[in-house]
Amino acid sequence: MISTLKVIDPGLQTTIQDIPGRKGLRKFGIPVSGTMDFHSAELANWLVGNSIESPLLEITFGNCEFEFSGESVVGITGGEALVSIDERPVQQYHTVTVGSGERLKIGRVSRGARVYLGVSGKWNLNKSFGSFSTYCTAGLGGLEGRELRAGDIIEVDVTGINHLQKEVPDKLIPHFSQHQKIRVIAGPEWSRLSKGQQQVMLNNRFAISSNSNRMGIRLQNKQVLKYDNLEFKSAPVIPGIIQLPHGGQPIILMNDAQSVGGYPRILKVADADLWRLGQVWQGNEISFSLIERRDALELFDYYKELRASHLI
Amino acid sequence: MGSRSLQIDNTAWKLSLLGETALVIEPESVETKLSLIHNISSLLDRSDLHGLTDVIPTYKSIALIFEEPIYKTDEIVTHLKDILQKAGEFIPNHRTINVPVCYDLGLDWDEVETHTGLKKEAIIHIHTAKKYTIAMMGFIPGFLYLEGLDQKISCPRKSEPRTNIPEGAVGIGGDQTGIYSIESPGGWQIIGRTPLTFFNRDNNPPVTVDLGDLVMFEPISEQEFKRMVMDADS
Repeated sequence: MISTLKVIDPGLQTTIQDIPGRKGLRKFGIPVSGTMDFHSAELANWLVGNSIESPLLEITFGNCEFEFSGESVVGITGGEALVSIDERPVQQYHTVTVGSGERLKIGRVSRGARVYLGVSGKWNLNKSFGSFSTYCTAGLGGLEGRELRAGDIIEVDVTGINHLQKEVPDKLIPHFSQHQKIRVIAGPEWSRLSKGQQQVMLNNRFAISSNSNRMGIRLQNKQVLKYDNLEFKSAPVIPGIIQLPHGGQPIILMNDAQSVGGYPRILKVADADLWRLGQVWQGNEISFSLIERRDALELFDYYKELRASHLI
Repeated sequence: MGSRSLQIDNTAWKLSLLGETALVIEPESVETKLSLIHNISSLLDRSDLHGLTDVIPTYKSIALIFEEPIYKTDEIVTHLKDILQKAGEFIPNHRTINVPVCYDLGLDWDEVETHTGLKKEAIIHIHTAKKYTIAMMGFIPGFLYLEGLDQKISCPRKSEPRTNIPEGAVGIGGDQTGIYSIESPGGWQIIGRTPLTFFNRDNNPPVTVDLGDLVMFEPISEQEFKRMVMDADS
């Protein structure tokens, strides 16, 4: 049986994404894309009984509305927002049933930046180069390779879906404060910075610029980090790498970033913390805490274990 | 692991880790031949190196991105040695691509003429006089970095990058020349436009040229440009 999700209001930017995005094409400049906040995305799919790699909606800043033709099972995670179904308030981080013809409304995100909407069933979409993730620049994936618009319809085969009501264990519910501490490891060009410049990176709060997007989080700091003639030929970059462009304000590369970069790679956000950067926006601040690579690996394992043991 | 060295035949390679999931290999020699990078990348692409999802070649190094975080490098390094040792056997098959360019559709002639001290005709003559090697990709889909630009026509990037460089734009950025296959922001000086595109989402792989292929530019009129674009669309 097919239920449709009709977009009444897509909000500022809503795209279909998946975990872990698009592999094998980075050398062509086709980025990995995928969910910015992979932690919340995993929780959304878990709530609705979908596999971790199932497509879902990534909704930036909320303010959206969807209408479901058939009875559907949904889960909303990520940034905090007021959610209602036909004006009845419903909770995030809980499995929720939407009745046939009912409308799901997500208000403006008050904490965090992106909301994830999982819908139980098999989404009737074709993968593009192995992934459902949308990469708008090249028109790949999602629905016609673009952001969702009012009137768009997504078909979901809801045959045999599980109506099991779940709630995300407290331990896994993220809390997004105005200031977040992000753990980083030294990048290949970290030692090119002077001790003083390294201290600026580690002892400051950086504001998030409104110029941030899925390609990168742009940071602003009063103390600009200029360097002289750091001759630098393009080198490989991956999501989480923090670049230092000539302007002196760092950029944290994210899911839609290019694969090669012409600026020094001074730090790398620990993969265990990278999802938190999908939840920051203008008004937020972040500060960095330098750890060893082996600690970053341990952290990654720890959180992976935590999710595995609690999401049954 | 800080970095370690690997000697394969005549080449000494430096290995280092990038983040949790990537290993970067780089010939230690100052003068790295692009062909070496390209051949090794091709071999890595075809290899069955366990857990390898992406290979990103750049001018001086190659990043190997794995599915999972890298805890121990010994196994990867052993397998890598086998692959690198085959580099000599690999015979690449490169082709030459003729790229028609309408130089009248350039956007930055004033800036380029001023910087180079040459007139548009002379610049076009130099730009079309030789074959360029496709050296690198990875900026955006279908963007080709070309090696071999005559330094007489090199020109620094624009101080204010454009938000929208049209698809097919041909540009000069510092000491490189290149082609944009899809619209994008960018800071290169645009000297023309080609009706060709090297990114095709209906193809697999979606980029229709290889590293190491050669590009030869040929000037066309605006009329011919429009005709070629129409032909391509039909």
